[in-house]
Amino acid sequence: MKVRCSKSVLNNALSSLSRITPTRPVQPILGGFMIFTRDDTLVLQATDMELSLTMIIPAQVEIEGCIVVTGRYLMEIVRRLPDGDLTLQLDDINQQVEILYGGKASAHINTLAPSDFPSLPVAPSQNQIVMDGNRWKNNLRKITFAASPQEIRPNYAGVYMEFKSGYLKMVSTDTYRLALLTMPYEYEHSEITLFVPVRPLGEVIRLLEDDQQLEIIWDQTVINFQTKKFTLTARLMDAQFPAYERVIPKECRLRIKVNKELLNDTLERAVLFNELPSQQAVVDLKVDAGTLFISAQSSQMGSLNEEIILGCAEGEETQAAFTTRYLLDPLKVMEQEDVILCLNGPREPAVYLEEGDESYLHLVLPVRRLLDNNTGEAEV
Amino acid sequence: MERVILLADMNSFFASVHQATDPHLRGKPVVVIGDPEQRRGIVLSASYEAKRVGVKTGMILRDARQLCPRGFFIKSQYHLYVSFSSRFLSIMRDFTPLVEPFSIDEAFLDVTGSQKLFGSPVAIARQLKQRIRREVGLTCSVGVAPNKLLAKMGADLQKPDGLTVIRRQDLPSVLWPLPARELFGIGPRYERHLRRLNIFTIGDLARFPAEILKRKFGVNGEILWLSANGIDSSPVEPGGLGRVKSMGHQITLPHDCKGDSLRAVILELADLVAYRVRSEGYMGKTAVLCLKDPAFFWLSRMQTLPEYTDLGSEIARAALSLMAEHWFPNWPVRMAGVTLANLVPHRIEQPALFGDREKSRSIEQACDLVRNRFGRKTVFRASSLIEGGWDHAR
Repeated sequence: MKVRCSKSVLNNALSSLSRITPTRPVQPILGGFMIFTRDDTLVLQATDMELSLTMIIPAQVEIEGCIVVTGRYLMEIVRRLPDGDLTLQLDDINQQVEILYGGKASAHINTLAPSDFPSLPVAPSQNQIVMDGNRWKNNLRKITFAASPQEIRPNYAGVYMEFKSGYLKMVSTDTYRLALLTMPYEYEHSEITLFVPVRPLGEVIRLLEDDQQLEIIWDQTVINFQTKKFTLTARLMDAQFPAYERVIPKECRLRIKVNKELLNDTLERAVLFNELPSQQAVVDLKVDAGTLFISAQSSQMGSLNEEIILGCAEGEETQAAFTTRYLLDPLKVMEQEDVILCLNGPREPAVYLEEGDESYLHLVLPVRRLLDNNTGEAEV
Repeated sequence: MERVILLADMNSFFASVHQATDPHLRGKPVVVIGDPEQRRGIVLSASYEAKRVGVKTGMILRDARQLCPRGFFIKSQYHLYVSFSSRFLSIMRDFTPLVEPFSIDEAFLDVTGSQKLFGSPVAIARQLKQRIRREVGLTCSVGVAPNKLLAKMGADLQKPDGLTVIRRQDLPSVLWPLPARELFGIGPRYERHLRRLNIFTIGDLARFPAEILKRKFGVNGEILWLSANGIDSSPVEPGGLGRVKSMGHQITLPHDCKGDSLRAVILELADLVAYRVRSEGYMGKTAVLCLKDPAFFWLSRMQTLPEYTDLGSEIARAALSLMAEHWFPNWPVRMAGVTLANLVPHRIEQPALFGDREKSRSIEQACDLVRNRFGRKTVFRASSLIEGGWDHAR
C-alpha cells in the first residue's frame, strides 16, 4: 500500500476513530484501526464490538492495500506531524507502516495482522430515510442529555424514536426526567419505532458537519448513520421503552413565563447550595402573587433566596422542590428567550415548554423531602 | 471567654455494665470476651479486679484464663452496652446540649454555658459523675480542661473514677514530663520518628521548632506541635459520631455454605443491612462483601454502586456480582458479611417516572412496615426457605 493524504484530514479522522476504540483493549487488535484503499479514498475503521465507525478521506492512491495499526500509536504520531501532505507506505518485509513527511523524515509504526481484525456488523439495508444533517443535530441535542448514562440505567441509555405519518417523535428519559421532541417529517413507510443507544447518537452529533445529508438505515438489530464521509454502525437497544405518554400531564396548574437567562443564572447559583451527595442539590420554587421565589439551603454553606417578578403567571399559586440540575439542563438547549414552566404542585411533574413552540417538552419530577428521623445522634 | 470542656470516660465499660446489671459480679474479676464461635475469643474489656492480676484488653482467651482462673468470662452483649451508652449520654444532655459521643464509652461535653445553672466546672464534673454512678451504676474518669485535647488527656491521667482538671498553666508540670506517646495522636510509628529527632517527652515536642516538624511531617507535624502546647480549637459537635460511615451485618454460618444456599445467605444479609440503613435514614454508595472459608482464608471486596441506594435488591445485586467475580464457584464459606458504606443521610427522595426502582422501593418499604409491626422474621425472601437460609429459622 502506498497513499498520499493531507495530515489535518487524516488527523481529524483518527481522533474520531479513537473515541470508538476501548481505552484498555483486552486484545491489542481491538485497539487497532483498519486502514485500506478504495478508489481514490482511504477508508479507516475502528470498533469496540458495540459500535463501529468507518471514516472515508480523500487520498491519492499509488498502490492499493490494507493494514491494521494500533490506533493510539498512529494518532499520537500523526497529531505531532507538520501540516501538509504525508505518505503512508507499507513496508512488507518488516511489517511496518512507514509515514513519510517532508524531506527525509519518516516514522515506522508496527502493524497488526488485518486477518485478526474483528469483522464489522453487516450494514442493514431494509429501511432507509434521509435527513438534513443540521436539523437532525440540533434536534438530537435537545434530547440526548435526558437519557441515563449507560453505567447507571442501561435500559434507559437511549433515545426512542417514533416514525409516524407526518412526524417523528424522539423521547429520552433517565426515569427522573423526560425530554420529548416532535418534528414534522414525511415518512412514507409504515409506522415504526426505534430505540437507539445514546452513545452512537452523541458520536453522530460530533461527526456531522454543516450541510450534510444524513442517511439512516436500519433493520431489526442494527442501525447505520452515514454521510459521504463516515458510517457509524450500532446495535439497537434490546429493551422496552416505557409507556411515556401516560406520565405527561394533561393539564397545568400554574403556567409561568420566565426569562431563560435569568432563571439559568439563578439556578447556577442555587446549585452551589447542596447537602451530601453534592450532585443532588435541591431548589425550592414557589409562585405567589406574580413572583417566583427560588431558594436553596445547605447546612454547610448557608442559603440562597431570590425573587423573580413574573410577567405572566396563569393558574393557582403553588410550590415544588426539584433536583436543581434537572431544572438547569434543559435551559442549556432551549432556544427561545423566554421559557414556559408549568408547575403541577409538589408531587406531579413540572413541564418546560418553549415559548410559542409546542414541539419540545421537558418534564421533571419534583423531589420529596423525607422526615428527618436521623437526629444526628450517635448510633451507639 | 475560655471554654470548659469535659471528657467522661466510663471505666472498664463492658465489664462494668455486667457488674451493674448483675450484683453477684460486683467486686469480682469480670472479663468480657469476643464471640468464641469465631474462634477469636479475645479480651474486649476487663474489670479492675481482673486487671489487677494482669488481664489486659486484646489478650487471647487462653492467656486470660491462665492469669485469672477464677474470673467470670462473659460473651459480649453489644445491645446491652448500647443501651447503657444511651443512658449515660442522656444524663450528659441534662447538663448541656453540646454532647459529642467519642466512642461507645466516652463523650465530650461543652459546659461553657452551663456554669450559671450548675456551678463551677469541677462542681459540674462531680454532679455528672455522681448521677452516672447513681442512675446507671457506672464509674467514670472525667477530664476538665479548656479544650477537647486536654480534657481527653486529663481523663486518661487518673483511672478509675478520676477527676482531673488541666488548666493551661498546668501544662509544663502535668503534661510535659510525660513520654511523647501519651500525647493524643502519637502512635508507635510517630514515636519512632520523633525519637530520631531526640524528642522523648511531650515537653520536648512542645519546645521543638514547629517549622521543622511541619517540614518533616506536613500538616500532621503542625497539629502535633499545637497539641503538645495544649492548643486545640476543635468544637464539641453533637453530631460527632452521628456521621455513621457504614452499616453491615456478618454471620458465622452454622454449616459451611456454597452455591445457592450461599446466595440465599447473601440476599438475607443484604436485606438486613438495607432494613437498618432505611430505618436509620441513610443511603450508601459502596457495597462490601466479606467471605471466609473453613480454613479462615478471608476476602473482602467492594464495589461502587451507580447510585446512592437503601434498597436490599441493589445491595444484593452488587454483593452477588462481587461473589461471582472474586470467589470460586462452589467453594465453601464459613462466614459471610455484607456492608453498605459511604453512607449519607437520606433526606431527599427523587421519585422516578418509571422503572423497577420505584417498585422495589415500595416492596421493601412495605416489608419494613410488616417487620416493624410483627417482627423481623415475618417477611423474607422465598430463597430463605432453601437450605442455608438462616434468618427465619432462628
